[in-house]
Amino acid sequence: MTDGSLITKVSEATAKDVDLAVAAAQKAVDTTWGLNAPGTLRAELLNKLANLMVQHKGELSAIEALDNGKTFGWAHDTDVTFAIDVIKYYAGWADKITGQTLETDERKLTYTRHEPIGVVGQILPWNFPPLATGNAIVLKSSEFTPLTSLRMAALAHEAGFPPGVLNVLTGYGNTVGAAIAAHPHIEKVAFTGSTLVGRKVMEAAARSNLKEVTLELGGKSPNVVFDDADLEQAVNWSAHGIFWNHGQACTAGSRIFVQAGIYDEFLKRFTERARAIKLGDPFAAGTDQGPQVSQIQYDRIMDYIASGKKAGATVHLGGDRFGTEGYFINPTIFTDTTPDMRIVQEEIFGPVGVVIKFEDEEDVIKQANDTMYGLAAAVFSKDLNRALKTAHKLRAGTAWVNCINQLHANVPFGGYKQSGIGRELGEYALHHYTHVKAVHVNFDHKM
Amino acid sequence: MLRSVLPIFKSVRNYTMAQPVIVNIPAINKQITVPTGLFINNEFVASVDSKDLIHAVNPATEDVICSVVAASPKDIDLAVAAARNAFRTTWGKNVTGFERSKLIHKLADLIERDAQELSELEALNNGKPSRIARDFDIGDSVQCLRYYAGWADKIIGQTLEVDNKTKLAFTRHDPIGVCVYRGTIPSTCGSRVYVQDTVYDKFIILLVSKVKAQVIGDGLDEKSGGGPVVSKGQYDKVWGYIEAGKQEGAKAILGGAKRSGKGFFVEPTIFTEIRPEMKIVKEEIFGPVLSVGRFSTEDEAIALANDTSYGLGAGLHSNDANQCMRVSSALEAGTIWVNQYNILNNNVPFGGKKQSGIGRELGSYALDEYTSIKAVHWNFGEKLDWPL
Repeated sequence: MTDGSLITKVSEATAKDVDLAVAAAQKAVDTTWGLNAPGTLRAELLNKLANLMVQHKGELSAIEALDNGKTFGWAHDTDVTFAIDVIKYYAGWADKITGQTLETDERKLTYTRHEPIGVVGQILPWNFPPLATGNAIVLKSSEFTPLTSLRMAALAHEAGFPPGVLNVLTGYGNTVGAAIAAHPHIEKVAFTGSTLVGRKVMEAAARSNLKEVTLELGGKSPNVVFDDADLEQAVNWSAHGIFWNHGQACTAGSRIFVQAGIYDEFLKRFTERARAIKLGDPFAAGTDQGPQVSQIQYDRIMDYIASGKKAGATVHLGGDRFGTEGYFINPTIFTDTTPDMRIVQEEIFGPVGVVIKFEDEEDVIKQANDTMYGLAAAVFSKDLNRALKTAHKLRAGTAWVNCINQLHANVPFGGYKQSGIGRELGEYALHHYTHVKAVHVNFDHKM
Repeated sequence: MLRSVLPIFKSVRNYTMAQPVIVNIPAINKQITVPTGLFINNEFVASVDSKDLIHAVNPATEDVICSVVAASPKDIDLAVAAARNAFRTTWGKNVTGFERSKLIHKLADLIERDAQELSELEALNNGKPSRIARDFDIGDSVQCLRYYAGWADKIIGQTLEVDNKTKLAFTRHDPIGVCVYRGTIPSTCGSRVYVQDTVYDKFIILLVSKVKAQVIGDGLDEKSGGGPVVSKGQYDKVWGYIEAGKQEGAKAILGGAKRSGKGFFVEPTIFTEIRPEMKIVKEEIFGPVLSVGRFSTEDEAIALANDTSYGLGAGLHSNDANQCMRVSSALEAGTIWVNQYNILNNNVPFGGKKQSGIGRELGSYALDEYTSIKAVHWNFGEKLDWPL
């Protein structure tokens, strides 16, 4: 990966393999899982899986770093740690799925049940809410990073999940992904990825069996820095916002709006931060940024950089490859852009930030919302009144005030507009993985 | 006067740690080391000023196992001060729900690890069969801890719309502070059974044969299905009720005679021909004494059942679903069991109506008893002119 070489080969699943997985999942739902497995059992298994992940934390982080390119430190301290926190959080929900009893008429009993959906398809996301609520999963991992999911599958087996509850298929989007999205016996699909592919998933879902769809898609999240921000902090958070994980984050604060009064000083310090990022081997201690995840991604990012240059934007920093081996791209800052440029409108998914000067609140809110995306937004200001007013006006599913890219297992996350449908994390996520059934029991109403 | 006493603690008292005790259990050829003392600030300490002792007695043999100190009001003050100090510094809002969750899980794991030993101590001191202590009392406690560990990071307040342009209002569900918990055993005993006259005779025959089949003996004996009552005080109280039952004219069709030999054993006792005003029908006995009455109509059964100042649990058995719904609706108790009895689940609230209690344990409802709601009204946009 670091040098572009092959780690190993995995099988490529086909539509027929998806059929097998769905059949296995359905069998589990009908016999050992679904309504046959009480919440306490689901809680126990998820807790066991979490404990196994803790035991194998180093190993999982190494596989992630190897396969994905992110630094081992980040994989270990952030990604895998967070995944463990999320499993434990949902393990706690598993035996707390409550419906309601509703007052209608003294001669009746009326109540709701929140039942598992059944077989759900997960294209990419590692989602624990479906397991917590009793669903069986057919999961397709990323074709760029298939290894962690396979290791997780083995751990899930060891934790004691019955056969068919979790099925993991490695494969490509246009075969396995498409088969899942269009499958007549999958009742819900969750997809994490680009808006382009998300649209295809939703179309396939509609055309097949109208399966429910949740989508976590792209973003071009605005990061708004006002004159009265704590400058040093705003600079640090902004660097984190775009350069974390080599810019490969759907929430990347990739459009950085800086108010005129502090623009020059901000740009100066922000550039210093970007320059200080150390690129190198993800396993080496001290490396801040590893390679991009694949050749395809590398090419796309470089293409965006070229388009920015061609359109007349200024390359304030970077804009080129790092070294001669591996998919490394130097932290890049563009200035002097116009709103219609591709680097301003489209999701780059790399360490490329655009810094834009603005005059006042009205101006920046308009510019910030001028996007088809709506995943996240950040606002920096020491005047909390101003920060909150702005945050409330930004059309995004998450608004960060004086911070950026902070996720918690118990706080919902998801997009407005073409950034997605539905919410992950928190209690809200459970709603996407249960069906509500209302039961009316008559005992004394004579007809 | 509640203030942080820790710096003062060590200098004004003769501070001696209370010593652990080695408890011998010959029945299973085992020795268990048990700490003694008052557990304050993660230490087992001697009482400030109390010389009174509580003797832990084995109700199967009437022997004293060991003695522990009976705390005094001054000890309570110390404990409360320690709790308040912790709440202000290392607990309360200083700790996240995630951290609380981890700790509670850890505690559950440790209790599970030591379940066998804990159940043997329970059997020794309480009388109940050790396997019941292990699989039910301790087993259920472990599950309950894990259930609430799962809630610790899910204490959710609300955001409330007041004026979208200028205001933010929300609630926080804050911890209360120091709570005093006096642990006793709640009683849901189905101590009154009312049987419809059409099945009365058959029911009595079956009931007597089932109850006779249970072996009452030493809790550490694998064969025992039940043990002695917990103490001499209880033993005397229960026999008092049995004598009262006989004197007031109820008929003991099972039990009613004392066992010879050591141990606070009470044979399961069944009274019939009861009347509502009898002591055994009105008062909580807290022993293996059942009063069986009869009724003809549903309304009569409901009236008999509700004729009490208590209201903790109630049960009904019927194959008629409509009847189940009507009767469960009419019974005045915090928990109604339909076609079962005495089953508790961690996620289902439990508590009494009428004089059986206030508040609910278990389930999400229990959280309401331990949080205090604070509403925050935050103005970020309204400018106020004065005078209005």
